[in-house]
Amino acid sequence: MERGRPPASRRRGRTLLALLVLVALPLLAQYDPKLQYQKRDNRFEGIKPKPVSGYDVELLSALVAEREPSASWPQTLHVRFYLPAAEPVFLTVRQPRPKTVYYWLDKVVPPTPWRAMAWNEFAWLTEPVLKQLTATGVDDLGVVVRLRQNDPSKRETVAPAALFHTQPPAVPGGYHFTFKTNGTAFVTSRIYRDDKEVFRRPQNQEKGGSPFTLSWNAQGQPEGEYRLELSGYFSDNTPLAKEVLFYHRPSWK
Amino acid sequence: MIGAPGKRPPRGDKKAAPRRWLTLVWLILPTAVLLPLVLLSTFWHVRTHVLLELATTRLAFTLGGTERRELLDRSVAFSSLVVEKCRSVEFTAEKLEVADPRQLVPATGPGEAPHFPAAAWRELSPTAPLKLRCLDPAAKLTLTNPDPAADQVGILDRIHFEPGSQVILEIVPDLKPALSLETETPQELNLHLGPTAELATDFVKPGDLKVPFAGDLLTYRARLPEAARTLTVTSGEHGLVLIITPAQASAAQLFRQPLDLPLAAVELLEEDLEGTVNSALHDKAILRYPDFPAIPAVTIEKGQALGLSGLSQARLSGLELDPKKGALTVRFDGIAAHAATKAGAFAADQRLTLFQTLRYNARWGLLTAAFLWLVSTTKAIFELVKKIREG
Repeated sequence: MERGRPPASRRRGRTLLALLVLVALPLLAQYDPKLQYQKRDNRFEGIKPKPVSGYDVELLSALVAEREPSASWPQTLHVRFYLPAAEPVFLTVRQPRPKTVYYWLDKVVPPTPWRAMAWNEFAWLTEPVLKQLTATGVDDLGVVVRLRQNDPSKRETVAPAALFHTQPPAVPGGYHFTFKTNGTAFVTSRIYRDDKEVFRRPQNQEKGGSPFTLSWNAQGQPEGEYRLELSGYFSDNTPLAKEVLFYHRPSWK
Repeated sequence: MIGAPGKRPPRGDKKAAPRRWLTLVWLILPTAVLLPLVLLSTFWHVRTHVLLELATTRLAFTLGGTERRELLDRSVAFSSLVVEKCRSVEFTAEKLEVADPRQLVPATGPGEAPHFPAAAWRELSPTAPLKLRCLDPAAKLTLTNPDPAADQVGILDRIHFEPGSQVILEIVPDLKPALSLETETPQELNLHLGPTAELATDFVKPGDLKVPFAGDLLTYRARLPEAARTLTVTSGEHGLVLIITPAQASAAQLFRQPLDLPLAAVELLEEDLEGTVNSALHDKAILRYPDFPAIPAVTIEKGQALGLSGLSQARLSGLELDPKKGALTVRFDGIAAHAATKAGAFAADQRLTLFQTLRYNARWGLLTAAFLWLVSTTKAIFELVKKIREG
């Protein structure tokens, strides 16, 4: 094989890449290049430029409501979720309200394959990235564990997760689902068990890009699959609809 | 002297050949040196003073200088205000009511807003002053006027931004566009309100007040005493986000005029769903070179991305909200170490080349003209003296 000059197409590609980096440079220049989104050990993690609001409604986080207080970054963060069936798992940790750049972790490789009908856990060190983000705290992070597919869609299945650093909350007694719309909208949220409504958040005006959270207290609710439904319309009268399916497991066992 | 053709040059002319060679070298040398330098200077981009006029839906910048500065006009009247990342909210109410969330009449079409019937309101007995605590990171407070026909609910406090802190401005698309303003430094704002206000609270708990309804999303209606129509908002330690819908009277002058804010960095890029860096430009942008007025301005099309970095002596000199376009009109200038645009897969360096800075520099033009005048005049004098001596 010839090891001389690379082919012209590859040279052009390199030049283009260099110029693209030049365009993106101002955005990430204020941060250490080591913090930029890249592969690290068992995950991809780092900071990325702020995303455009591409989806009309997007699920940003699905977490167990109880959070461990933490004034500073702990050494390690843990995500724990219940996997009801053997399905592909796509775990993402992110900031629901990004600034100029924002934290993103995904493409995780679990130490052992994810186990169906069991609680699964993933842990990662905060030292490489999170501890360097001084203007961000644990409370600023959201987690989405998508099942079956990685990308958001109108109807998606998720596994609500607990985010903790020493021990998970005593029982997963409730959930926080955080969404955002890409335009001002009137949104009503409901949770159903089969066809029975078990929770309703009254209609509210949500400003575009401003995350909103619905909190469901699941105490006393039976184990099983639930459906979260968002309905409403945008200020230009475009209808808004989204469904999120999730499995409620009332104990850590 | 050169000998006649066909004849051997005289003995004394042996030195003429090297002299001829030397003359040729002297003739070629300046060209051989200058031509590559000129060529190189057409590719060599230098730090450039640029002035940008653009319309964008999002502008993020880091404040430069050493002093705290203001960005907004000193009395911005607003018709709605959303506060994210609050820590606490304090105000005194003459009369306070809370609405039963189950009785909300939802909006059914554009131009409508959800509302509560008169029977939904329940009077509360507030302690004065009433302190609401934002207990969750998702806590949010929305201030509106209970009278849907009224255009104004209050006047914003003066907001100071610390040098070195980042400010993010973003247009929130709506029938009446709003401005989202995010700052990373803690704030305490005293909002001056009218006689009545409606507060929609999300994950905000009233201190000792007993509220008869459950739920994280509650709506309060307050009548404020004439002597204390101030609502104090304290932010978390990492600043806050305000989504301001300006009252009609304030929409045209939301920002300070004249504005002269020193900038340390400015950013106009976003990342799309595929992970590509894209432009936040709302319309065409114009990039000028104020030190070289003769160089034509560059038009940056809407879809093109623009990146600037290594800014020095930068200042934001103009900022306006254009409610019709739903965009911010921005004017700033500075010396950029990097200035690049990207249209699809094609990127271009927009800094000036060394050649352009020399060609369009009046001082260099003058010096070149003086040099040419000196050379031609010296040559003419030399020839004249030579002819006088020969004659």
